[in-house]
Amino acid sequence: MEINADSSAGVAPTHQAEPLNYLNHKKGIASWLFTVDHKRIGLMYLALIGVALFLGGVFALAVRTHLLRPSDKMLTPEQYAQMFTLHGVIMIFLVIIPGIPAVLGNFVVPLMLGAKDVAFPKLNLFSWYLFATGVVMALVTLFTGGLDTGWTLYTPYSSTSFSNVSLVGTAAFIMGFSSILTGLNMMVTIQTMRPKGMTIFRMPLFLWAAYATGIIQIIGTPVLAITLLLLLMERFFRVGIFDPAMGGDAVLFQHFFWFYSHPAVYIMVVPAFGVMSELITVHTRKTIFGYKAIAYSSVAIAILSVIVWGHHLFVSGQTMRTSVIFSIITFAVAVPSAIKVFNWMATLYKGSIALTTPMLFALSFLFTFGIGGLTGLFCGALAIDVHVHDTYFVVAHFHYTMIGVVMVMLGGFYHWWPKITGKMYHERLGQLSAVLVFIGMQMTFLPQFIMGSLGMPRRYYWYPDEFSMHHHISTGGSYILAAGFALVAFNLIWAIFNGKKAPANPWGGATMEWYTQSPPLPHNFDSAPEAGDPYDYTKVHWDNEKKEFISPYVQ
Amino acid sequence: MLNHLGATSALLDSPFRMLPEKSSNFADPVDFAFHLTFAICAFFFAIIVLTTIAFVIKYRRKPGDYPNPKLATHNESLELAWTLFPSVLLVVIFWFGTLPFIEMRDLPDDSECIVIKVTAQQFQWSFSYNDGAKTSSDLMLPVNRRIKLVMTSSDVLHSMFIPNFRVKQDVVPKRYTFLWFETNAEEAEYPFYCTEYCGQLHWAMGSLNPEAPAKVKVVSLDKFKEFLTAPEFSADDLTPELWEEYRNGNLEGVTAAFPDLEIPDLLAYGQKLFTAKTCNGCHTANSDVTLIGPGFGGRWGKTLNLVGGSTATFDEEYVRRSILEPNADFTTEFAAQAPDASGMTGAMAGPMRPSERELEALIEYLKTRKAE
Repeated sequence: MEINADSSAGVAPTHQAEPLNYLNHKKGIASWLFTVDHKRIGLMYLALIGVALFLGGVFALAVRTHLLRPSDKMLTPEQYAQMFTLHGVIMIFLVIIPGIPAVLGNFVVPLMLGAKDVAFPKLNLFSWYLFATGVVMALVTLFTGGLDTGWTLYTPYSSTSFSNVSLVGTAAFIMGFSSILTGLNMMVTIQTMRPKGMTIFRMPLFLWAAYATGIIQIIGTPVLAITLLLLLMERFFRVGIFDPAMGGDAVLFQHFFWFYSHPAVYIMVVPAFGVMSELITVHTRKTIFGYKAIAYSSVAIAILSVIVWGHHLFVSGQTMRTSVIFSIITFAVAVPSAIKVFNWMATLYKGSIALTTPMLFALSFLFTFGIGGLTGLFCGALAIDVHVHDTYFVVAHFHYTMIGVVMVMLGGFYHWWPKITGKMYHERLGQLSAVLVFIGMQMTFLPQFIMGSLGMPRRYYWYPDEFSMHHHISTGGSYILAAGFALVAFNLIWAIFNGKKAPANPWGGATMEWYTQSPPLPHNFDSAPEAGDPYDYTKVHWDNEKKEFISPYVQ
Repeated sequence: MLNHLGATSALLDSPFRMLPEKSSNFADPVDFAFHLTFAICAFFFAIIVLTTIAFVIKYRRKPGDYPNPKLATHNESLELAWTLFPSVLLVVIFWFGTLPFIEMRDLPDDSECIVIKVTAQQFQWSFSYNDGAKTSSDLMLPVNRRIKLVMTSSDVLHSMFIPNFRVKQDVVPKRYTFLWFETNAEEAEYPFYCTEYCGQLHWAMGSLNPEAPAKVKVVSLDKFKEFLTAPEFSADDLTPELWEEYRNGNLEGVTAAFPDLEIPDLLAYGQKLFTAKTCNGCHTANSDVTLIGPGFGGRWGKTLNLVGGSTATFDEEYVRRSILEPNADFTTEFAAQAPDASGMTGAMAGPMRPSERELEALIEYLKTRKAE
């Protein structure tokens, strides 16, 4: 029996009532705000993250536009500091950290497991409310003094800044719990709700990534919460913890902060690795190369990521021996990252590569993250880091990794959009958006590497004339990048209203989310499917008469 | 605004230049590590890009063709090769990155080098040398010498970055941190920057300061010695009679009494003090732009609305009182900070506190400022 037989245009398609799905089975705003359906919660995260991405993007464009001609003084130094700070805070805490785990994790993980929901559906809704509270508080900050400390909140400047450090700190504190609880929910779901036949080595790699991400969220995030709490105590009660003027230690904050914030990089990157493995395999109709190597390297990265934080402190006054040890561990992380890249490349070998929009984003990630990872070697090498630390080189380096993640996230949105909305996006426009994002990205950030190694410091309102050309190219690139993002948003929204109806399995995927109809039933599956090899595409056939893929549905 | 500092050559102007001119003992080993890493990365990046593009072209899906490819799941020897080979190269990068770093952190003994004490504050560097000489924006260095900087901050975190020397070190309040390097043989000027975000004027701390762009000035040993021993003009050294002459614009008596000194007139003296007393860290002199405190261009004579409802005129008395008692008479523009001009309060408590004669020179300077 095939589930998608119900929804496919079988006998009399005209004016037939739309089949029951999770979007239409209940209506009204209350049916969303009180839902415990993982799919709806995923979409509610997407709505908040979309707003945040827009704001963070506008702030980035304000910074870049100011830097086109700083002598015009488009922004005052205060506004400039606010813009780059809020850009960082919003993009990291409100967009990239929750992006893949909360949106795609929520929507896809239970479906991939053939499950009806996550392990703790009510906790899942609670997590969303925590996140929403954090988002609202962060937005309130915009109108109540803003934030001028840089997203890193380094003390003692943040202990004494007149801007609204306290509110942002509280917001991040609350959102941290959302992150912890989501990670926990994903881990328990994957641990306990796997269907018959899905051994851990038969899990789709996205599940491995979601699990590894949960580990980092649970280990790292509490330390951020503690750090923020201490900072708030210092601001409110003048307890001297970080501010030397009150007997504290300024550098201690950096250790605490990076103990979370470096793993946070992997909270962002590891889920992207997972999505990447799904995109590459489905759109090349080929099994993943080196499944175990990719799975183990996710876990290796997750574990190593919590012991490399000291590489942010090479010039902080940290002792030489400490720095050398952190440098060694940092280079060790490069190995599992490289393994993944080679495995994805090998997956392409003798595949059937379709240059769909998700695949173009996946290939963009391969190049972009390649540069981001390789330039990480410069930053990990001690003497080179001394020179490039806190310059545009570092800015370019982490944007290459972070926007690499965003590329995969957008690729993932395109990939699962037919499943989420039941509608197909516009393929040509999608490809154009991928190309714009790719070109815009390179144009914005390649010149920043050169500026940085030539000595241009970051977070600067002004720059020496010799960097004018670099800044002009970079700003031009940022406009192209923005156009690319806008086109993605337009295409996805357009699809909801005008897209062709999506079949159950538009790409010929072999993981279980493609076994159910698009959009899925409210309870996902009528009966629990049995899992097989998630990357065995020999069992997904193209039916030339129906013009769609036929998934196996093993009862 | 700031022209390319230091020597230029055809190579340096090339768009492919990746690092600044080399001007210290650390430049060679750091640049070697940089270029080595660049070569290794370029090699891997070329492999990734070329292989991927070749695969995409060769194995591109033909329309309507959905083959069921054979399942090649893994290849242990291939995977071992692409794990071990990069690992070896990582060790190489680590090695050449670590060697110069160990040298940077191995501080020379004080007897082998010139020790300069560095104090950072929002948004100004000050340097004090042996023999009591001080500078408040430029860093003076002799050629061909080992230099050790002993640095601390009087407020928040800062970081000393001299790109041409390839050195950088955070400067931390209530702690000392160190930098050492050896200058090259040629006399030149180099930019230097603060590279740890220290507030809204972070960028103005160093060579991009709009009032007084600071530079690292490497000079011959003779000139350096001359600088160390050169006496500075100070109005406080004048006898009451000479001071009367001086403040009334008659420099003859003063010039005769101090033949070795270059005597600025009261206005130029005020301008010098504006930088020397680090006023320019928070205020612009020739514009009305607010940095941390108000800009002074065109402010003289204006009526100010004070917190609490009263008004005041920006005149001699208001300026004098605001300098000596930073927390008194806040204007409504800065009500958000009232009553805490902590940066100024700190400066006024220390060596930056001007004498009465210095105050008069500063007032003379502020009187004549126009908004550009």
